[in-house]
Amino acid sequence: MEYEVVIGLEVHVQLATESKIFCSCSTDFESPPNTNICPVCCGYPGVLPVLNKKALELAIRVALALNCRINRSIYFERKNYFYPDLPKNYQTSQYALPLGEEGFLVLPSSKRVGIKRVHLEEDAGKLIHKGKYSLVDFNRTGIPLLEIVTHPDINSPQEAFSYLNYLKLTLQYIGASSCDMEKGFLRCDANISVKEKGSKNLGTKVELKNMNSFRGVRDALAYEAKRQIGCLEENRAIFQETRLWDESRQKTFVMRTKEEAHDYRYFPEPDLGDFVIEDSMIDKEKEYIGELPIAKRERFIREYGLSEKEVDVLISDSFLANFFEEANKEVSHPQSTANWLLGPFLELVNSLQGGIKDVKITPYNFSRVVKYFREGKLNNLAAKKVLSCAIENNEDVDRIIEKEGLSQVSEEDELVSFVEEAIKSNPKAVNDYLAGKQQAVMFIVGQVMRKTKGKANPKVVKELIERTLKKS
Amino acid sequence: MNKSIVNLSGYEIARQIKEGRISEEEVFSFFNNRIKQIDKQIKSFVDVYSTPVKEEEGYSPLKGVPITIKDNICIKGKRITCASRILNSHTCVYDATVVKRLKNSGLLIIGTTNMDEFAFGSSTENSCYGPTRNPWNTDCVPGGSSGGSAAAVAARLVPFALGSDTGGSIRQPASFCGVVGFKPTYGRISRFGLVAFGSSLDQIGPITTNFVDCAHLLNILCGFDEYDSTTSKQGVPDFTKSLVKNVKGLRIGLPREYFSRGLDQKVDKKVKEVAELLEKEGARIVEISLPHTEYAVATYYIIAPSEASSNLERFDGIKYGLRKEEKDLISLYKNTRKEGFGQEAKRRILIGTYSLSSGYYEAYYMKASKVRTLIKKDFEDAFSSVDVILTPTSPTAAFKLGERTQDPLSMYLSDIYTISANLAGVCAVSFPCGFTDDNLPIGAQLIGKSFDEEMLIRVGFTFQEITDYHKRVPPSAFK
Repeated sequence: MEYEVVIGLEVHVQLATESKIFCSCSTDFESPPNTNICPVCCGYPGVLPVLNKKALELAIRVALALNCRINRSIYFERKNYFYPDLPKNYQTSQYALPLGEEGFLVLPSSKRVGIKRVHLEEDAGKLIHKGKYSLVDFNRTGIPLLEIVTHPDINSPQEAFSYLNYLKLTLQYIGASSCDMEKGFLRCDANISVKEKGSKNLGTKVELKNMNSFRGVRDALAYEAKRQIGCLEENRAIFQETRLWDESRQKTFVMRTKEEAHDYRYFPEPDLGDFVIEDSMIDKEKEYIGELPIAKRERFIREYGLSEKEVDVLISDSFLANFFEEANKEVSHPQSTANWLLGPFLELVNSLQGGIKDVKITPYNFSRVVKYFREGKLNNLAAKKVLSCAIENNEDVDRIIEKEGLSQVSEEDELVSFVEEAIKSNPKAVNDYLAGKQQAVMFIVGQVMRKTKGKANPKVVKELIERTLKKS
Repeated sequence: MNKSIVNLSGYEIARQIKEGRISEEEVFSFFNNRIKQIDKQIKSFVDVYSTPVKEEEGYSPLKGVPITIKDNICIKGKRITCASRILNSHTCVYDATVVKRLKNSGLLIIGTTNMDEFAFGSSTENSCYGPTRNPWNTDCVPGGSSGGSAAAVAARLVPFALGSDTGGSIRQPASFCGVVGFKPTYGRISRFGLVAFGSSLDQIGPITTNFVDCAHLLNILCGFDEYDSTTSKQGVPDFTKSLVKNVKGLRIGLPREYFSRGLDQKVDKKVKEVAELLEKEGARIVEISLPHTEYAVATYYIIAPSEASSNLERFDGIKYGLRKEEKDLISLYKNTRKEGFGQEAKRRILIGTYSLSSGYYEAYYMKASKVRTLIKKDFEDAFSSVDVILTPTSPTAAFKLGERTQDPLSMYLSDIYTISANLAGVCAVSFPCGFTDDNLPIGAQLIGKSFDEEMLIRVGFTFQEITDYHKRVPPSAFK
């Protein structure tokens, strides 16, 4: 029997605003516990929420980027439930009428994943359990949160993984969220069921929680698909329930059954009123949506003739993608630009403390390194050295070359004496070469490079050695 | 000299201070002493401050005059209780916007006044401090829920007070105590710092002995607040400009639904007398209909408790207020709320929770919201043919303590004439218009269009100019 997996994902992302959704506290929740809090986000008696317009703008931007229909008059609702991380014991959220509905996200496989709804709400605080006690940190309380729910359109754990990656990229591209799942900026729950292939009836749905990475989501879904298929094959019942992913044991466990479901008693938030979303607001947000990652991916492959693998890395960061295009305008050789970016450049970036954030070199300055290398003005080693000098401070490439004397020497006149000396002092290598061991010449080239402190053009040096030895 | 202060309006006291005839300190200690002497029998105050809460640079025509605040409005550094055990003398960490405005206007906050717990009630008997008594007859209730504020002003323990009105909580006690109680249009005065009861209904308003003080206080209190999204950006007029004795040509509507079964005969008579007196001044009396009036109480007792059940969820023993330590979280919640809330609070939390529950939401909360729209439309229609509506404030004068505590429905019905204005969001005021045979005050209510507070002041002031009910002081004020 063949089976089909049906998956829907519910993602929560924190929006990249400076202040919280209903008060002016900072959204930096990594500050010491309970330092970014005020009476409003702590639900003190008498306080009222005031919507942070920036949060609404970013939410609209996301809904647009996900091709959603925007509801033009929206309101918030209260989702009532008691939990210590929720100071008011209700979450201000959206329910009956979400901000955005019926959108989609296209994956590289051309698969179109339907987006059911996108709505704006507030984040809860964080509980820290310490032995007998539980401590609560309200720094996170009130950070604007966007809930993005897909239709059950996803048919494999790998597809879910791809969706998450492209969702993350899309949100990063438009500056809506950093989407760092390890840091909790993005959280994902999944619904999964299996059915016989071709069957119209959906199987019993199981909700999965507690995944801490995209890989965790993929692994949990793979485990759960296998478990459910096993149940079907052995004629065991699948229960509608919520299961928790245990990362260390790579298994899911029952958390609660359907009977324990909450009644959230939603009703319109009377403290906020209605918000009319004008055309001008939508137009303004559209301007912030440039080329999205999936379009960029297609264009890079088409326009630059690079491999999918190379393009995937280039577009994985909008900074990198833009950097590539800017630099290539000067270099006019996509493959070289890509090689230098994906090779030496990224290697250097990885060694920087802040990663790509610490990169100061401009695409123009970078492009000259690649150009000089291609023109033979810098050899590979020297080019890497120049790059490493400039990456963090954008020091002028020409100045570095001059200061460090790194300009490549290609003039035979200047190299002749070095070559002769190297031949003289390495008789064994010379004899090996003359005896037919072609490789031996490289040893002599290496000696010249050392003596010239890497400045010599190795190609010229090699030719010169070969010519000299042939003459002798 | 001091003795005469009792008979002065707040505005007149401020003028005497300005003219140097009396100092702010003398005024403050005069009222402070009065409270000490007289409030023992009335019990209108929760806290009395020995030094005023004020802003030195504050200025307005009411500078230097003491005011008391209902104990559900935040005063920074002072405790707030909402007359509930659950707040456990929580200290406010910020000022309500109205408190800030009073301070900036140079008023002296002298204390906080008693109320029904979380403003749930119409008699100020649902207070963890025990009931406040009516200064006109201490066997009677002062009305509620702002009963402490109304009683304190009536007994001249303070020139004026702030109350809050969700279904009549300013107007009904004002009526029972023979003072002026004003509920402005929803959105006129910031609710920031008012502990929420029914968020879509709550409004803060002044309780005064007369319309002059009322207009001056409205000037201070009204206006947009960036901390309350429900406040209106509508411009605020100078309300004292409406203190004119002139109702010529005004059309005053008497809704027939408000003069029917259940209305005390004497109240009926005195309110109709108001109409006659205004007619003599040149107003035109028109009988009108507000057809959905009979659904107002039922609608209100779905919407207000629904919102209240959610607003009160934050009192859970975790962050502030009372906490009953327990072995697990659920027991902590349960025991904290069991001990912390009084009976009426529990009743309303249950009604509201039920009304919002899945399977009942459509039949209760949603239905009530629809009826609310109809009630709102009643007023819109009415105001197309009249300028202002005149009604009784409450079906009876003050009732005896304990008389209705065992029968919540009869208690709820004492707000039957005030609730609609909250549901519709329009402005309304209660003012004294006579006395019963037992010498208890009777109140009349004026209801105005949204943001037409000026009309209420103009009509109310005209009535005040041709009568002297507002000048009568209860006997307890001199004991």
